[in-house]
Amino acid sequence: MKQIIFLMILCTQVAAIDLYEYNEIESFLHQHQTKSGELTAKILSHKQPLKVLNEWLLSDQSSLAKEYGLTQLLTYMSTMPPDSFYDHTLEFLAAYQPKATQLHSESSDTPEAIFKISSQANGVKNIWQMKRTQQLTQQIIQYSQTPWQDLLALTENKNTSFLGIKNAINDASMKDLSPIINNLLEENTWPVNSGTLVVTLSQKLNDAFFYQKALERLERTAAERLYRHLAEQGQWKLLIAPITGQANRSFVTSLLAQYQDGNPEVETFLIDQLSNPKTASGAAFALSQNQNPVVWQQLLDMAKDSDNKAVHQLIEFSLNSNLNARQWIKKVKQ
Amino acid sequence: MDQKGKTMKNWLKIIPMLIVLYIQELSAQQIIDWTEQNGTLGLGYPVPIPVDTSEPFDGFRTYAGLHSKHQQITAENPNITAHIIGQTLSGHDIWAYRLSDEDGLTRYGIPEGGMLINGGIHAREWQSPETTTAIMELIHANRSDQSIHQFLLESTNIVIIPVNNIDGFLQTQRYPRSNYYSAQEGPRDGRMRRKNMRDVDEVLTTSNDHLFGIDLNRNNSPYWAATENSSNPRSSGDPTSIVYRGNVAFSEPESQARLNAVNLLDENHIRIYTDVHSFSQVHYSISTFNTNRNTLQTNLLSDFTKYHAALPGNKNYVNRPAPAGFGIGSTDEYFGTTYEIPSWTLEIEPSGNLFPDAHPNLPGSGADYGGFVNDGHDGFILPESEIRRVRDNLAKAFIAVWYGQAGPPSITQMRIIDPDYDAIVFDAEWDRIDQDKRTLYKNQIDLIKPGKTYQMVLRFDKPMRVENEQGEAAKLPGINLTMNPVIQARLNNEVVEIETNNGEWLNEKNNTWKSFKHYKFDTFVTEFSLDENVMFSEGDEISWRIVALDLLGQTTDGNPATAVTWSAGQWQNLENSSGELSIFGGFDTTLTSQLGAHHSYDVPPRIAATGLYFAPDRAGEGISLEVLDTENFWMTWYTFDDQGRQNWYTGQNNYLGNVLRTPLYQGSGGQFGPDFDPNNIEISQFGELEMTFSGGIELPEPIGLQHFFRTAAVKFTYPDGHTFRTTWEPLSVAAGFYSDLYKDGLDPPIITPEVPNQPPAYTGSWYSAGRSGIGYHIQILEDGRAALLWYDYSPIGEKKWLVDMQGEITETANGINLQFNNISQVEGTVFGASFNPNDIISTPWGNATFELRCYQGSMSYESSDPDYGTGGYDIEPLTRPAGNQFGCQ
Repeated sequence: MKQIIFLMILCTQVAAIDLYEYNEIESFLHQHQTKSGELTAKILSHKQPLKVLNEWLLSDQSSLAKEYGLTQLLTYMSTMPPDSFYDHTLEFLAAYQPKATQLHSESSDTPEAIFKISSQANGVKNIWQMKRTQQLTQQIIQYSQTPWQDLLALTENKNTSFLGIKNAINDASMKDLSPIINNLLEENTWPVNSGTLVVTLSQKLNDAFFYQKALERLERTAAERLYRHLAEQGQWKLLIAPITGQANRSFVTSLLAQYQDGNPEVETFLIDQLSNPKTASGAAFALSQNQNPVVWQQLLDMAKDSDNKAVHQLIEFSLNSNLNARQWIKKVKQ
Repeated sequence: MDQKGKTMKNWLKIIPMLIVLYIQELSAQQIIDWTEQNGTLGLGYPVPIPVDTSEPFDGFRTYAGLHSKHQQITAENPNITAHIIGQTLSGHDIWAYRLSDEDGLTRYGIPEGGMLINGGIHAREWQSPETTTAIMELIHANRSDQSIHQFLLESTNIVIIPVNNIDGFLQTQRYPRSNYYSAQEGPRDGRMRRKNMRDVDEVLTTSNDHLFGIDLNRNNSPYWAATENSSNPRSSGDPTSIVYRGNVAFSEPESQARLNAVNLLDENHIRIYTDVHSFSQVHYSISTFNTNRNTLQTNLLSDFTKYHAALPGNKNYVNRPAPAGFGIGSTDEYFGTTYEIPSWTLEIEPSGNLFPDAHPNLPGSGADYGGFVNDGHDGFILPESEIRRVRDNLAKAFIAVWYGQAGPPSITQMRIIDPDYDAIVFDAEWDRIDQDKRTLYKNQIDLIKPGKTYQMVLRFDKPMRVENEQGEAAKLPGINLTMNPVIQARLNNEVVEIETNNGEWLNEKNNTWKSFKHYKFDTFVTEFSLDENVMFSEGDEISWRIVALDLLGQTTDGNPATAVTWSAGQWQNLENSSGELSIFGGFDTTLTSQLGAHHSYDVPPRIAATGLYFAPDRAGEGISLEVLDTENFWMTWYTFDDQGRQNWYTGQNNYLGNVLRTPLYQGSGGQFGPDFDPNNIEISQFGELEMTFSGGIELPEPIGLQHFFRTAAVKFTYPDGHTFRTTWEPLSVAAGFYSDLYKDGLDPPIITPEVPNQPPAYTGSWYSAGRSGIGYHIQILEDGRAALLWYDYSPIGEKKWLVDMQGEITETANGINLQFNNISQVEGTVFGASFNPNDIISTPWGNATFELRCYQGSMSYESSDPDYGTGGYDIEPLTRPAGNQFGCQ
């Protein structure tokens, strides 16, 4: 009874929406999933797409059917090349207020749109923006006399998509990119907001010298992103190199976890970091995954010889977190 | 373009569309990856891949990394403990972390409120475990901030379940890109697993189990299966449904684990519960039939929203309360209805597509971040670039609401200071009787004179402001409130004009009245003066009306005589301005002070002179006080422990005005006689002592140089915060000292002795170098006797003090000899409020001889107790109290 009263209240307060049941939606989708997009065909073949859209929305169909048509249209548009002829259509759909709703799965009583038309339309706008930005970037790379500055300006422009820039860079040849790289290397400092761009260029270039320069100059987020890339690429030597930069050294140190087995240089480095407050936490994490009894013994010896409480705690943490180490210690003590 | 060309163009547009539809048909149930590039599950930003690290970064940590961070924090912080509350279906331990000190009580002896938060119940919602972890990191990093984080550790009991559905979470991390996909169901299993792993293997390509599992947020009473017959069930009995509730409520080990987590709290004092999810950027709060609870919850969530929206990113969380008596079987419904507490599902950003639109200015789902929204489930995949801001800001917001649920503020103490002498002239403080009740202690040292400017000190039971970058008191961004308390005065119910100036919240801890008590900004100081034209009679009582707002705008308890707690859905024992029980506080009207045109003393309140002090109703214990200079003092309290054995405590600190305050220290590890080794002595703190001296009252007859008599209001605070009080007065008058350091008047303080090398010059503490940790306080009394307080240990290492007030003085060529033939030891009663002077037994111990010269001396002793025997040591002065007319040259 309470549900009926609630729904009545909901209906009177939100008379503009239609609340569909789960079975209704399931049944509709099942029936329509193989049908062609009627609205899509009409819109794309008409010289006044907004007019078609209005007529569609004013038609006698259910809101479920209408909005399903809208979502089909948007799904198609997401695959199209950007076409300014349909920019107004997209803007219209980006501001669309849904009418076909269902109750949100996590709430007792809050309706949500069945088809996220507005979000989807914004998504299509973003896709087109990405494609447009990619084209623009390609032109900058190929034709600009000041490509680095132009690229920077492009990244700062709110109406561009970084993915577009990234795609263009990845598609470009090293020859095309070399003026940009040279530009970068000539500058003593790089703008703070150039991080993502530099990381993309670094990954493309895959050059140790450039990596080092980038790690020294990049702000924290970008530097850490680059360290992650290096860790994924197996370039552990750069992770232990004494590079002074903005990256959190504890985070960087923790990335060595996967490279310590059978690698005495990394193991020794990690053990040394336990005494450095800036890296100790990450080192302890990495060492908690070490499977070398020689290292376990070294840690035990270090704990015995040190009167530093923090070092003791970290060693205890590393060994206690390691099931094999715990079992080995128990055996050795017996 | 001709007609044929137009037709061709139209077909060229339509054919790809048909291809898309065909592809959708083919992908009825396939494993498809989330991608950065455009596609069926194209995000438009990099697909987050979990990184195996314990360190917070701009991205998502693996479960192993998160767990490692939790365990590291626990290892470093004694106030954060790890507890296994259950095992998952795969046998993974489910962990909960308790953040609290051990005693279960606030600094003021009230049972701590419990805060419970659950993360990672839906596997794919990666924002959740990062957020719960960030809360632990934030509290741990600021554990000693003397502000709200330390306050939470000391005054609340927080339990965090960082990842409830570990099996499911691991599955999503095992396949960070991949999931089954169909146009009908959308993406399921793999990265998009929501449910636990019941009847599911870890192999994604096993196709016949990818829809199985229990939705842990439907597996709860009291509304388990309540929507069964609804036309819009949000809970299903179909095992393949994404909201499958299981066969019975709490069937799943993860659900049982949440119930077990309650055992880490005091069930009677749980005050708030949150279940952390994504996405939609809303609070789905539950309602019960308790309107007070609902009202307080609404206010709390509003504070959460306002504060969070003022943080970087300006993300606004909208409250969408559910109706009472109705539910879907979610965990917040269970806690909210069972415990009648604020309880909600927090849906972390991005925004969704709710009706009415909670965020009309945001596009929704991944488009909030420039994403492609090829599938609306992209809202569960927050870009790595956003997670640091998301978790850090939400952690701060939880700190704020838990601070609020710790309780509304109450005034714990009011002091009025006469700035002419930096002296406390009025002191009122609420002392704890038990966990529920307090009694008001008042000490009117002087009458308050209308027209005169004083300082008023107000202390509260929680930090009332936070510190900005300049070190100043500040509000939380987004929460608008009056910065300073409002102070009013009434005389016989008529308003008395009061002028206040230069009010400030204190952020320094020192030993004067101008110090915060426990936390920065828990104390407010302001100049004030009452209207000089007010008509009054000497001794009339002025009533104070004071109200202040804490960081969330909660008002003061109108009557601190009853301690505020939470139960039955609301604050209990909270009074409003009229003194009536309410869910909101108001003006505290419990404090009164007496007015007067004249001082109630003959000389101003100051620290009394060096001497021995005792309470007449507590004869058998006492202190030796030595005022070392205008800023420092030393004292020893000769008393007992709670077992009836002798004990002595020392204190040494600086002072200002008429208040001495010091932590008390006790030693252990000593032994009487030649085997004493100072290296074995261990010092520990035992509570705090405060002595507030009165103004001087003229004696009928002066005693030596002392014309005035002062008493000291004494407050001893135990380590657990409860107190006992007494009043000390002079036991004896030391020769050579005025009644205070300022020669009883307004003269500059006496530092340089005026008369050399007379017996009173030897008053002070003496010790033997090499035997630091024990010593002798010697006082030459006005009546020609010498007093000895000897603090030492027994032969078996117990604390021991010996006393003789009948010492004989003999002057020698270059000093004095003191003969103590009546040294005795006392025992028989206990420390503190249960002290009973009638139980005191005094037994003779022996005698001692002191041969003293100005800068050296010796002592020898002979005890009647063979265990102590005889002995002697060279000694030297440890202290030379200031203000002594006699000195050494």
